[in-house]
Parts: sequence; C-alpha cells; structure tokens
Amino acid sequence: MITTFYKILLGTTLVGITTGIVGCFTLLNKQSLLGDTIAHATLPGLTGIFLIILQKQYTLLLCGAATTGLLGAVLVQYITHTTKLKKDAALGIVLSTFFGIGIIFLTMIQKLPTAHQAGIDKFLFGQAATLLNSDIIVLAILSCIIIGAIIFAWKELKIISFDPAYAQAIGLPIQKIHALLLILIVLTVIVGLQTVGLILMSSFLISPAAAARQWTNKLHVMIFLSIFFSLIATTTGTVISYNYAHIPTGPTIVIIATMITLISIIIAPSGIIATQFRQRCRNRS
Amino acid sequence: MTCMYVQLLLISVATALACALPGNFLILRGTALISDALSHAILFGIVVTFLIVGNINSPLIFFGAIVSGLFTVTMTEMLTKSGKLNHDAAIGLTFPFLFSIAVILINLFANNVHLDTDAILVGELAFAPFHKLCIFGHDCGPVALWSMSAILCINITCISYFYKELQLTTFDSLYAQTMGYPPRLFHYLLMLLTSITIIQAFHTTGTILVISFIVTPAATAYLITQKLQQMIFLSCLLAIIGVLAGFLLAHHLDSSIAGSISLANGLIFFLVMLNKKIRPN
Repeated sequence: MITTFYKILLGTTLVGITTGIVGCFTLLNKQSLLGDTIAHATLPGLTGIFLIILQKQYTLLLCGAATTGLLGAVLVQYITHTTKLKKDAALGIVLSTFFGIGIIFLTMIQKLPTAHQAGIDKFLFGQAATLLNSDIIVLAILSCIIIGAIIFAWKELKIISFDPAYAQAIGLPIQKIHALLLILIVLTVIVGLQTVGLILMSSFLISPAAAARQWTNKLHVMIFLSIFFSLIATTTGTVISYNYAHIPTGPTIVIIATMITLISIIIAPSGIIATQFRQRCRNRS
Repeated sequence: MTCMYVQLLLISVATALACALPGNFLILRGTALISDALSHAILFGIVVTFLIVGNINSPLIFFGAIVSGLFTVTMTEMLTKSGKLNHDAAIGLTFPFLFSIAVILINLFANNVHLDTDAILVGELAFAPFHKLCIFGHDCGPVALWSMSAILCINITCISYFYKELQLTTFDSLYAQTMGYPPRLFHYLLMLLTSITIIQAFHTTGTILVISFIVTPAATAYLITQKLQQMIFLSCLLAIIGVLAGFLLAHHLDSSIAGSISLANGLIFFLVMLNKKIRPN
C-alpha cells in the first residue's frame, strides 16, 4: 500500500524522466515551440471527449488529447510545407484556433448541470494531487513506450539531431524519423498533462534540456543530466504543491526548472562567466 | 439587450482591428510568436504592479505591463545573442517563467480579487459592457470600447506615420541601416505597439486567444496578396469578418465569444489555404 504522496511523486517522476529525454531531441532539432502548440492543441480533444462521454474516463480523455495534439502538429507541418508562411505563423495559427475550440467546449462543459465537470480545468495548470492509481499505470505504460522507441531508434535520432545533412546523404528516412519525433512529443505532452498542465508543458520540454546542453556536448551525458535536472524540478514542485493546496504543480515546477537553466547558462564551463573570464585572459596576453 | 450586443460587437471589432495591424509586420518579420511571449509576460507585469499598487484600475498597471513586455523581448534577445540557446528555445524559456510566477502570485495573494486564472485564460468579454465610463454623471458607454478605440487610433497613427520606415526595416534591414533608419529602433517600436495592444485586448480575449487576433487575419491576408498595403487592408477586412462570423457561432453554440472568434479566424485561414491549393491563382 503506497501512500498518496509517494503515488503522486511516482507520477511526477515519470513525467520528469520522459520530458527530460524527449526535450533533448526537440531542443537539438530546434522544435522547441512545437511542444507549445501541441500542448495547447490537446485541449479540444480532452474537452470534446468529455462532452461526449460525460465522465472522467482517463484513458479516453488522453486518447482524445493525443488525437487533436497530433492533428495540430501535422497541420503545422502542412502549412509550413505548402504555403509561404513561416513556421512561427503556422504555430500561432494552429495554437490559437485549436485552443479556441477547446475554450468553446470548456464553456459548454461549465454550463453542464452535473457535478462531473470538476477536474477538467485542472488540466490547464496541472494538479498532481488529482492523480489516481489507475492513472499512474497509464502514465507508466506510456513512458515505457516513449523510452523503448528512443532506444530502438537511438542512432537515427542522434544523427538527425546533430547533422541532418549527413543523415540525408547516407539515405536515412528523414521524413519517418521526424514523424517518430512528432509522435514522441505528443506522447510526452500527454504524460505531462495532468501534472504540469497544458499551458506550461512546453517550458518543461525546453528548460531541463537547455540546462543540460550547457554542460556537455555528448548526447547521452546530456540526456542523463536533463533527466537529473527535471527530476529535481518535479520532486521539489510536488513537495511544495502537496503541502500548499492552492499552489498548482505546473508553475512551481516550471519556475524551478527555469532557475536551473539560468544558473547553468551563467556558471557552466561554456557559460557566460567562463566565456568572459577566458576573453579577459586572452586580452591580457 | 440589443444595445449590449451592439456594444460587445463594437468592442470586439475595435480589438480585432487594433490587433491585426501590428500582426502584419510580425508575420513578415517571422516573429509572430513574440505575441505569444508578450501576452504571457504582460500578465506578470499586471500582477506585480497590482500587488504593489493594490488597485486594478490604476494607470500604473499599464506601465508595469509595458515594462515586463519589453523586458521579455530584451531577455530573449540577450539569451539568443549569447549563443547559448537558439531563438525559439529562448522564447519558450522566458515567457512561461514569468507567467508561472504570475500564476503563483495570483493563487497566493490575489485570487478572486479582480484577477483569477480562468478569466486570464479566456478573457471576460461578456462582462465588458458593464464597466461604464462616466463623465460628469453622463453614461458614455463601456470603458473597454473607449480604451480599445484609443489603442486602435494609436496603432493607425504610428503605422501610417512610420509606414516607410517599418516597411524598409521589415524587408531589407541592411539597406535600412545604411539609409539611416536603425532597424533595432523600429523593432522596439513595433514591440511597444504590440505590447500596448495586447494589454488592452487581454481584458477581452484572454492571454492565449489574443494570438489568434494578431496572427491569423494577417497570415490569411499574406496568403492572398504580395503587396504590403493590400495585405494590411485585407487583414483588417478579414478581422472584421472573423468577428462577425465568431459572433454568429457564439450565438448558435451559446459559448465563449473569444473562443468562437478564434475558431472563425482559423476556419477562414484554412478555407483560403485550401482554395489556394486547389486553384493556384
């Protein structure tokens, strides 16, 4: 029998591990803001499914979220490939349109007479305390799928992250690898929905990886550091929001993770202080 | 009742026009998502100033919001310039950080005191007509309508006065530099205009849907035309159509107006895009 606190901690740890790993690949592929759009695009799926089944069936809600999240990601790719619009415009259009639909559904849900609606708005900013035992099992399965897929396609993902031109030259199926990465981002966002919340999910994909990038040039070291940093953030965030009921988990985690990144940017071996110091030495000699 | 409906419509049209104008330049410069960053960061400025001043209607809140908006722009640029992060990671790191601090501050100190997290996300357009502007006891209509129209006038004035400079710095910043128009200055002017627009629009549209008002009409116009002047006029027209369609939609669904306008904007964009695809010119 595990206590509520350890159950929640287990849930957030899973989130920390998956975002830590997948975040490295999105950062290196310069896809950071795609996570933001995907996370916002999950809202219509989440609320739409809820409007149909009218109960908090966790697995089905997540399926809905994954569907619209993936649809949003595909639309972004489609717009950037077929029109003259740049990627940022495509991201903005998809994000705001999907979120608009989500808000329409959300206001419909809030007008429902039943008491079932409680909890849907917790997905916006995340509240780890609402995790149930069955939810944790779903999260664990999803995390295993994500980690398994990354181990399986490790070499391809690595090459495409560091040298896309070389990947093309040796004939790797670039389109397929990008599609895999897209699906991995969607799954990671789904894992984090209830804990971090969909509004701040993108930041949590970026900051641990960005912090880790400051300390190393090796991919496997970067991934372990990224997991380490994101676990610090999730654990501290969980402890704080568990003890103070009105503090949502998501923002707490994001603040801690960003602090780690900013400190890393300043004090890491390739960071601002070291660069300045080296420059000064060079000027003197 | 109809009177209130007309007022709502006028507020929405003013908001949509004011947002669409700077949106054109943001789209052309490839910095559309800075509107996302600004709208989140501005909340930080509003909350912090509110906690210091203690009055949500204080004009100081406006300045606090502008300062935090420009701070975000400067911070992302510094992070990008330092070479430690690429541009979109720098944006994605900065604004959620400020936004998170704002959300926690609201939850700790200001919940239910004119600021709550739901209203921030979706706006409270439906309540806008109830805040009336009274001059010498005369009812002069909703405050939101007056303030939004003022912002719209500022945007029209600035963009028409600096039209040549904005055009030049957008399309050829190197040439603009040699001609003596510093691109950075006009970049910051554009950021300032976007910030004050978002601060006002924020009350009616909320933090996230304001992106639709800024980005989508301008992007649709960009698909249709190549000329800047035509693009600006088209984006205004599309913004008005979006508002009207959104109102119809909201009425039928009995749902959020800002959400429906975003959906209408998106639908118009996808229709134009598919039309271009099927019949290229």
